[in-house]
Amino acid sequence: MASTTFAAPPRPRPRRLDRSRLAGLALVAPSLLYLTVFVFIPVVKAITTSFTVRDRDNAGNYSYRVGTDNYRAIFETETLRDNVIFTVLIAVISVAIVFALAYSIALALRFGKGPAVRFLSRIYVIPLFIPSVIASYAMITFLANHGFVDGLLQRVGFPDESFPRIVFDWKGIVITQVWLSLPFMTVLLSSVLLEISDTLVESARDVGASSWQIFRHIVLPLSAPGALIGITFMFLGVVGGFTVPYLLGPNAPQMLGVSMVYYMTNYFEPYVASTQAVVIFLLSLVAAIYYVRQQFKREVR
Amino acid sequence: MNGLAFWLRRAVPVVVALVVAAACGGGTPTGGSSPSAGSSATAKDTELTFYSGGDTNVQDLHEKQVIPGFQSSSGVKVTFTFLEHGTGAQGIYDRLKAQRDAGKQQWDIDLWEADTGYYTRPDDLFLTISDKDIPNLAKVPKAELDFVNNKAVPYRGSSVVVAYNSDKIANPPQTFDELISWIKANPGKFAYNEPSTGGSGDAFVIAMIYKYSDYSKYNGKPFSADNEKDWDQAFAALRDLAPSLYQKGVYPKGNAGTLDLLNRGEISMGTVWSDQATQALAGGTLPKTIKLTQINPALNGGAAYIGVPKGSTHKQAAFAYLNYLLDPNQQKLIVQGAMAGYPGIDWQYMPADARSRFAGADKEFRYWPGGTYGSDMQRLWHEKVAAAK
Amino acid sequence: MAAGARALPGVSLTWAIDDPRMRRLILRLFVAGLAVFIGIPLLTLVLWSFAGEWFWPNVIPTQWTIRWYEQVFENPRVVNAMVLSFTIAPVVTVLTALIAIPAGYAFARLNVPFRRVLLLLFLIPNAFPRIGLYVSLAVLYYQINLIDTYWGVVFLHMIGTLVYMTWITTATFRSIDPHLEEAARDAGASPLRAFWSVVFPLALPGIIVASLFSFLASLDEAQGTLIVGTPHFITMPVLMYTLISSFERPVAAVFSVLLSLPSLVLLVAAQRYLRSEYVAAGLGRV
Repeated sequence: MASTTFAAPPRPRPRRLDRSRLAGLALVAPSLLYLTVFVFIPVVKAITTSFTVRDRDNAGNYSYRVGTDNYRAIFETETLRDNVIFTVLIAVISVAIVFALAYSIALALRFGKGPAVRFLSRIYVIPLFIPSVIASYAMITFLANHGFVDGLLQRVGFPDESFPRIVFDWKGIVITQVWLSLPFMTVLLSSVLLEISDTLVESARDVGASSWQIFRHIVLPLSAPGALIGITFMFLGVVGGFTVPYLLGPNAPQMLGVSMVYYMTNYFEPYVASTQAVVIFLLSLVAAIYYVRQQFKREVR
Repeated sequence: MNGLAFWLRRAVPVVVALVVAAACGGGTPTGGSSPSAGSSATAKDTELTFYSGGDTNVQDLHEKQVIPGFQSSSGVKVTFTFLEHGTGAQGIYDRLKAQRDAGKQQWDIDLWEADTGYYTRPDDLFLTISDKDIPNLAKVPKAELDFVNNKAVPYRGSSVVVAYNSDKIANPPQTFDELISWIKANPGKFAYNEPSTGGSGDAFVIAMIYKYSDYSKYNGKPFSADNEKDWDQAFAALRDLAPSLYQKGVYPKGNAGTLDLLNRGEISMGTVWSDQATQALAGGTLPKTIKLTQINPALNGGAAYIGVPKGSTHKQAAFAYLNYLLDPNQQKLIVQGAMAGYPGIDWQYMPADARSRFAGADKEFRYWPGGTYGSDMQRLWHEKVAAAK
Repeated sequence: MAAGARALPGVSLTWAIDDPRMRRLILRLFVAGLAVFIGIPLLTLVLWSFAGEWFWPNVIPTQWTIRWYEQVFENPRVVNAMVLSFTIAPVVTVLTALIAIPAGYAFARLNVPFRRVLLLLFLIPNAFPRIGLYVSLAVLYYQINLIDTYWGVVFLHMIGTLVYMTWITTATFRSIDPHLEEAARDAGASPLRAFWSVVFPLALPGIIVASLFSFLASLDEAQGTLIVGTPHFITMPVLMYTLISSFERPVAAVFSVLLSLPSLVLLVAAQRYLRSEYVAAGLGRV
């Protein structure tokens, strides 16, 4: 059942089509209503907030006006600009590593056999079931300097202070993001790989193709569209994330999710915070539009 | 422990904060949940609604110790609501303000323990308290009442102290300057946490600010942006200190972050909340070799306050509770119990044995006005110290 | 598939993966490494939960105790948080399913007008940073009296679950042959009956996977709940934040273990659906 896709039937029967359009709208309506109240209205509010500029006089009194100063601040204030760049970099690195690992797991699950593969299929999903707060916390106790790993290494003779800084560093964010996102990406890639027929792979092998050639010329191209969708979704998750970079990240630069919360709760600058939210949104929107286009291409296919 | 402010700083994910107020632009039309009260303030109060927040120990102090005693002695039933992390403090404030704006006579909260900044906001939502209403208030140091314009009652305090590994350090620093010299002489062995994430980190930064910007400019004076110009020197000094700090300038997250580094032996000295560290020592999560000491002038800590909203439905009961709380017998619970705090009343009214528990309780103390200064300090610290290249 | 795979000498880059023994070795090493990476961090938490005293440089605790467990179970907040989390998650899952399954069906089978725009709109909850969204939502909650209410928390959790559920069910319905439904209709079944007795059973694995994700997402949500649920609706992960930030490390570890247990039970129960074609049906063509 997994190998065929049945697209929405474009029937050339005008009356039924109209009914179908109406029914379609009716079925989507509850979700749409929900999203309007709980997502779209707050989003519009946040966007309006981002154009509110607050000025402060010498005595600490505030005045408000409409303007684009907050946006300018994000690209002109060095720390804020660095945060944007840092966020994108971390997202790209995390996604790349997860992708490589998840692809390897998915390949092993799809084409491998034996007890090791069965074991693999049981363990790779575990992080999916661990709340991100706990995962971050576990990683801190595990990877901190003078943490669990450092302790073991020193036991076997590594000198003190030779352990690299992972916690409170970009490495900590990346490792924990990888840990957390691995199952999702693997599940996704596995299902994509399932669609590649055994016959195709075997016939390639029959004409003498090596494993690498099969991977390079058959598996990779066929799984690319699905893979790109997984990448998009993970990118969205990492760019907007808070828990992991807050608990494991460096003091500076900060990922935008963290910076936004600081601006809101600590610096009492909700306007700048909203602006950061909108910037993340715009970054993500590029990925989202790409995702939708990809989806349509697949349907056409 | 500076009540909710402390928690707000400690717990970054707490977001409601100003945003709510700012985006609502004033009159939030929420009525809150309607007052549970049928009784009026003139009749004998038989119930009381108390909102508080903070650490578990604060909850335990009220819920397990003070409230049961108060209920049995006064016959007033206390409904106690605890705000985890001090979350939603702004929400509670908005709730009070909304009831005032809606012209309600009887509000649904009688006592509120929160960040000191809330009591003195221009909205003026809190009763001015005097020792006519609360006789035990006469035992409270006057400066602490002046600090909030008599709008709230300080009932416990805790301070930020220097925690050090006594195995490695025989003579801990006595002043801030000595502390700085120690840090420079022992690179990598000291940490203070990121100010935005916990008050024990703020205390260190504030001490540096007061080194370059005179305390008299802040004590009881209104906000002036000019004072912040002095801060550049303080931030420059902090930045210069970075290479001598833990991992050449890694600032742990939260008050717990510093304790964590002490636990793992990563650092030999750090600034911590006295109550948290005392509890950690008692609970075995900090090794016994860790000792606490206070420098002079003391690192900035602060008192926790409780205020009575102007529309309180049960004012008499609220006053009675505060009076009960300031009784030396109850204050002893704060000092001796798991709370490990300072009393709200002057030490002279406390039994002698209660005093011995604390190092440096007698040191000179300076307030930090917080508010706009506080948020600016945290932002500027990030820009000029953490992110500086 | 391994049969006939023989490496040509000199193809340096690929000889390893073409030699079955070498391939097995690489696979085993890979699986072992992964098991360590995934498992050991969680095991350190288990160690911490039993640690009476554990100071650097000891690799394992020097004193063992179960007093942290006692402390956690004696604490009514913990029990309350657990009860709350497990009463919210199923409600969120059911409500999400009720509105997402029809939408998923419509996207898969019917000619929904403005489909492309709608699909993009359905992605906004994922594209807009959650924190920003929650804070904005909190403002709205004050206005419509949903702040610090049970339903306020439920509706907030649905933001995350709705997208997944819609997306997964769309893919699931699309993988079912429409002719089956038409055949049922031709045999005289009403549209609802045709859906219920033909399409729904076939889509069940996908729906179960989607529900599972929703349930887990609800259990995991801390940020938004912290903002709109306090002080009366403290769920497990919100409490966890508190414990981490107040340096009750062993207590936090105990709590982590307890918080992970139900999820892991769910994992074992859901193994059947998380493997093979079910997942493909659920997540494959997204």
